[in-house]
Amino acid sequence: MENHDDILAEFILEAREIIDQLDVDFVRFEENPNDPSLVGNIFRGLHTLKGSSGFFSLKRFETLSHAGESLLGKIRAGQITLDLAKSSNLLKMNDVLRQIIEHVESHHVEPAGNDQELINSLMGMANPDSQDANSSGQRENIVEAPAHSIDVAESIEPQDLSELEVNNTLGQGVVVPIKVTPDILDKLMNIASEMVLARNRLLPFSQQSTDKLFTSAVRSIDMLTLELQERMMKMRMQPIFHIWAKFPRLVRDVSLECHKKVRLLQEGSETELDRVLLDSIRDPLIHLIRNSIDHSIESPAMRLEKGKSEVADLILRAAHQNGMVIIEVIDDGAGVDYARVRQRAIANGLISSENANTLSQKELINLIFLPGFSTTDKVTNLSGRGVGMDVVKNNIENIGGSIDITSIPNQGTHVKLKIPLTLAILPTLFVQSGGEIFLIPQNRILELVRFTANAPNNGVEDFYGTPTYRLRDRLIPLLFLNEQLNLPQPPPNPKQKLFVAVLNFNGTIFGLVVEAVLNIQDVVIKPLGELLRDLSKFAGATIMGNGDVALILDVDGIARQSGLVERLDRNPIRQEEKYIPVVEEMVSILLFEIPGLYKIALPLDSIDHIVKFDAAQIQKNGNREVVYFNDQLMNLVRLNNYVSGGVKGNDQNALRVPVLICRYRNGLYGLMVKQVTDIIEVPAKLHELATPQKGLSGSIIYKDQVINVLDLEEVLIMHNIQEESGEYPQVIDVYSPH
Amino acid sequence: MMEHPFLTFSVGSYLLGVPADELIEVNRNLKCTKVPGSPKMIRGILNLRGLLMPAIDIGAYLDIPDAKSESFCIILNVQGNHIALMVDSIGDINTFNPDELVLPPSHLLGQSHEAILGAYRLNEGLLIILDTSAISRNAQNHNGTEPIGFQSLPVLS
Repeated sequence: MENHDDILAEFILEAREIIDQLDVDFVRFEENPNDPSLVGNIFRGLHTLKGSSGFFSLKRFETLSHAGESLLGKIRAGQITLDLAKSSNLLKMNDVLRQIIEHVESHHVEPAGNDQELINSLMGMANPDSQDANSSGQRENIVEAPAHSIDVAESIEPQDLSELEVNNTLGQGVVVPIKVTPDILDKLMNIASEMVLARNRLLPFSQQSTDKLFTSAVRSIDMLTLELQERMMKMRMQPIFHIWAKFPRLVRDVSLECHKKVRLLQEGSETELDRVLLDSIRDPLIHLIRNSIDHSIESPAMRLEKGKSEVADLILRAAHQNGMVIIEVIDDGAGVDYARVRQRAIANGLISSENANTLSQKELINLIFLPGFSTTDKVTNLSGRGVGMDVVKNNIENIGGSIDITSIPNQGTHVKLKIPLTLAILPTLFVQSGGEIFLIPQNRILELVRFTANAPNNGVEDFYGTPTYRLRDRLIPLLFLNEQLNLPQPPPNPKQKLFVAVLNFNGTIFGLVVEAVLNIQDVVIKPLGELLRDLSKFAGATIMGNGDVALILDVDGIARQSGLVERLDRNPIRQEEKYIPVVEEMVSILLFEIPGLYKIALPLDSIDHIVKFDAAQIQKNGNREVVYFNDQLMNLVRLNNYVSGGVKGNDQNALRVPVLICRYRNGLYGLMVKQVTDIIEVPAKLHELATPQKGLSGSIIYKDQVINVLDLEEVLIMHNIQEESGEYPQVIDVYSPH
Repeated sequence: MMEHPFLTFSVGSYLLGVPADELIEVNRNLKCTKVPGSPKMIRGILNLRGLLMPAIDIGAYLDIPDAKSESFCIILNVQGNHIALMVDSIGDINTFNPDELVLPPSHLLGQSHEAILGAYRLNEGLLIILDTSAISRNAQNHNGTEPIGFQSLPVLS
């Protein structure tokens, strides 16, 4: 009995392959009804199925395939021609055959069922003469039919054999492929990668050794291991054809159902991909194809009206590119209806109507990926349920891929999937935090930024308790990895450079702060699996070259557990600061530094001259500092004494002091600064400071910097009060002399 | 009645045992990677020829105060799951008749009670037999109770 089971299992495998192939062949045959080699292939396949099923006494399977064979026999003999009704029936038969096989596989018996109707219709088509006969005569036909079709089969068999023989002689050197279970492959793969690690440990010894025999032995192990690994990687790869083979049938069925005419073109079906990935892109691709046919491609009448050809082209294209597989689904239909997307998004409450009009096409397309979005009102069994593109996107992103849609109205939609070659190997960034090494999946990193932790304007700002980093024109919240993982804080180092890995968590951009970025390396992922399953901050582990284990961070898990999103929901970061309206009046301002403040500015037109004085030129006039300039004495003002944030004192040691000379109430004043840095154009409108700051009239955001604007009048009033009273004013309380 | 073999080892001043048929190997100096956020009983993750497993600090697990748990790793296969026990020193493999197993006192609570199958009386004291499947379970789902009062067991002289 066990033997019998083995043979049955083999038959089921073979039958599945044949049935899959028949699907492809039927659709091709439909397009090329005059191709004799195609009908020959189909006939042989079906004949094999029928013969084997007879051996296992699968009666239902046998009679059904027999009916199909009879029809095909007639077509092959040229007695009747294939049309849509016939091919539909043949495909239906194929579906029933597949169901039977699936049932046999799980239950070891044929499922109960009556295919008489289908058999009748197949037989009826095989004997068109008798189709004219009345329905009572049909029964006779059926009884007759087997005898009749056996004739056909017999007459064909000799031919069949001869063709088979030709095939055999052609394939004489060819070894039959062996079927291996994926488990064994995975285990071998594992061992191969361990072998590589073991070799890595061996190599240093060989480099130090002077024993030639030993070093040459290590070298051959080195080479063999490398080759072993490469071969193992190859073994996991399969051409994308394996899943594409089902698509001609899918396209045919869907386009029939939608009453559309579609021609499927497949390019690059030999492109290879890890078989695990292959499985996980099948459903997304099916969904995309359905979407294209159902939504984008127009009805034949509409297409003619638009001046397009009646038959739409749907192109599936696959290619390798930069270590990724690019899969494209391209149609030449109506494309995404942007107006409709906008309208639906408002109706579904996804965006407000004011926002909707400002969205670009790209942003509108991104709405399609939101859960619950659908542009169709009517729910068909194909689409319109609003579960779809978000699932597609998730599935693709789960395997480390990305999806990109572009669409031009009336020219079509172009969907581009980027899929990594293999799942087992992940390009990662090695980072260090709290003295330990962690890995961040490379595909999650948008960019890396380095900043000096303790520098005064390092871009880190506090936003309602959330540290944020000003990256170009937007604020991104920061998470410190060592805090998230409860790792010890490194000893403070004033010149410590920290790194921010900018990451995306469901559309929230955030920065993960680490102490060091080490290197980028492809690693073999080992699932943490059952052990430590509760630790959702880690996606897995890997074994590094030296045999140590390193943990791979789960970016989503860390972001989720940090409560970052909730915190941002309560206190959303106002990004509007970044918008500098173009229409605003621009002014030139002079940027300079004073002790303690790095970015401080004055409007350029309030300054007459910028002069550098030698420190020796600065003289004392009572308690004032003056300088002889343009035949008169000019008061000097040390700005740092009057401005909040300035480091107070008169001990400027520079040999040459830059002085900004301004006019105020017919007097000349020289403002002593540390350094003049730049002249920039900024909007004239100042951002008022939240709490008034001494000596400052407001601030300007320029690039990612806050620039303080000096309040010249206030500074000079302060200065004059001091001058008149001979003391620094109490009210202002800026500086008290010793 | 068939006799069962047990691997004996010591942690602190306690003599402990695990079923020898679950033993894969005893190893020294395996480097282990700390896992932030894991409970104290899990020292980290070990790599044994490509197989990753949690390293369980038996001293911390049973709250044995004078345990060093640094020298040896006992690698076990418990119903398909691999775990490594970090212990102080390794003893012999001895066989015992399961009928002679003394059940743990019922006033032991929580994790300690769960982790102990019972004990065999030896001339020099008690050999405490650990429940490896409970340990393996706790290593995977460490929401278990905190270690409590192992001190109430008799100590080897």
